[in-house]
Amino acid sequence: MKTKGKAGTILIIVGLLLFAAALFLTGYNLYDERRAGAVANRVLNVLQQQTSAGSSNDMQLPENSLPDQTELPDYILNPDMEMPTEEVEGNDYIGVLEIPSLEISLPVMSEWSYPKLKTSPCRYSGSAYTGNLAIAAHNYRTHFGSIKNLAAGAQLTFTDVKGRCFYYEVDAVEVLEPTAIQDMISEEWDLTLFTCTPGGRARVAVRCLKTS
Amino acid sequence: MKAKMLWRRTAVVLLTLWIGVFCMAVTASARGNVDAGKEASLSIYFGDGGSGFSNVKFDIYRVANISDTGDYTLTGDFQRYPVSLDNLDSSGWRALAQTLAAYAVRDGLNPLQAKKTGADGQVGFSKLTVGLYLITGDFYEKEGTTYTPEPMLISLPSLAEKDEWLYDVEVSCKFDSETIPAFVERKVQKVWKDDGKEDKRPKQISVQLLENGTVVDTVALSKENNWEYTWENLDGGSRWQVTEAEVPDGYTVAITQEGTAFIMTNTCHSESPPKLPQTGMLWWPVPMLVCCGLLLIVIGLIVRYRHGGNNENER
Repeated sequence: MKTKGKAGTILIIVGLLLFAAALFLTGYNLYDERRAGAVANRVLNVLQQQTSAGSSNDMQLPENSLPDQTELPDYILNPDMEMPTEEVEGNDYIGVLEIPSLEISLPVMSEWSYPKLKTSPCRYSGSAYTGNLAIAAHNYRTHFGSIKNLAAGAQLTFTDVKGRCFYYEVDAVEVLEPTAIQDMISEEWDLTLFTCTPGGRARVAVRCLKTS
Repeated sequence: MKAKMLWRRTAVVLLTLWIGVFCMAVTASARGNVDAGKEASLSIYFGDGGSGFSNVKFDIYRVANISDTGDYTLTGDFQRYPVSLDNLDSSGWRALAQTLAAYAVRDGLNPLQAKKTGADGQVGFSKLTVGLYLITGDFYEKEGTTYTPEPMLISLPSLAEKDEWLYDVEVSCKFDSETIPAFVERKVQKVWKDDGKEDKRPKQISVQLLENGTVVDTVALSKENNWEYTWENLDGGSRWQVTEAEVPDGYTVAITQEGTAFIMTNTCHSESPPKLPQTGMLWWPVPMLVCCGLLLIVIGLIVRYRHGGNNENER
């Protein structure tokens, strides 16, 4: 009879341990979410300072020189050109993504990897110049956690590190399988943002078209 | 005037044929077979506004074999170059011609035949084995303007409009014309086509600048210079080209010239497909842990309750 009593106690202890693990995981996730938001904000501030300094330098023409009216920007002449980057804290960024309706403003890294995704959204494929940019980010509430709530017609802006702005409008929000790689990088849309669904089993893709 | 009009019309027809050659060639498998034993000929016209440019040397190189069904395989010296002949559109063929022309002149490859245009701007090559040919020409100067022929790739035979193989092909040479400046500027921009496989990309690549076929400078392109470089104050009277010194493993190269800029594209041909990243936070274990924990606590309490009840009964 004593054994049964002990077994009951052990079961309660294990149950409490599982409860504690759930609490710990929740705490860690909340901490990680806040940390990722803080890092992205810090990078954003540095990047915006560097970008505004760089673009104002670009605007300065040497004395006695006349701008060539017929000269088009590099990215229009050669849309396939590599997007320029700015380095912040050892990572290369291609620009800043702004979603006013979600009050989100985030830096976008040039390449993706799992450690990089813990810092900021990352370019998964394509380019803003060729009109097939796909950006991936974690579903932290401070990153792409709320993009599933975007409605058709919501406005987005991507600004590259040279200060050139690209304006988009949400066309559709869809859920794709993790293996639907070709669908995700479809060139039907000028910009795609994606992240995991809350359970992590699928991907939410926000499809956007250029507005100007 | 009539002669000029006639030349213009002929040039347009020939150019259309040239552009159409490759679009049709890739879909040639449904047509009749290529006769490998039949000799082919090629006639090139180089001129502007009905006036042919005379005494201009053209070189032809045989770069690929052609199969019965019209598929190409690199041959001879050209086998060593990391280029792709698969799924090319007209701009892809144009880039391939420019890329191979730069390699041929850099490495001093011997042309299969070299001939000069006559007074009418025409030059003909005959008794050619079937295959894919690279055609390059010298530039022509007239009244302070240079006319530089664009390298071209011509399939012999080519597909004619009625889906028939044409063994005697006539083409009009496309060219760039510009007034001769004292100095020119040339820029090279690297384009990577390796989405999802960026980890295979080297830290830097070397680009060689060729002046009239001789390497005169080598520069490194990397993230630090945004994968681009500009040469300034180059001799306006020279012909400038670029080549990639060593193409990274698993990549092919294609170079096109747009105005003063060379676009050097490296395409990755790795087999492994990219995967969508896992961007979810680790929330799914939380409800599982809570449910399991609750269940164990409830079972534990029940066991303890029953055990306690039994003890009281025993007393």
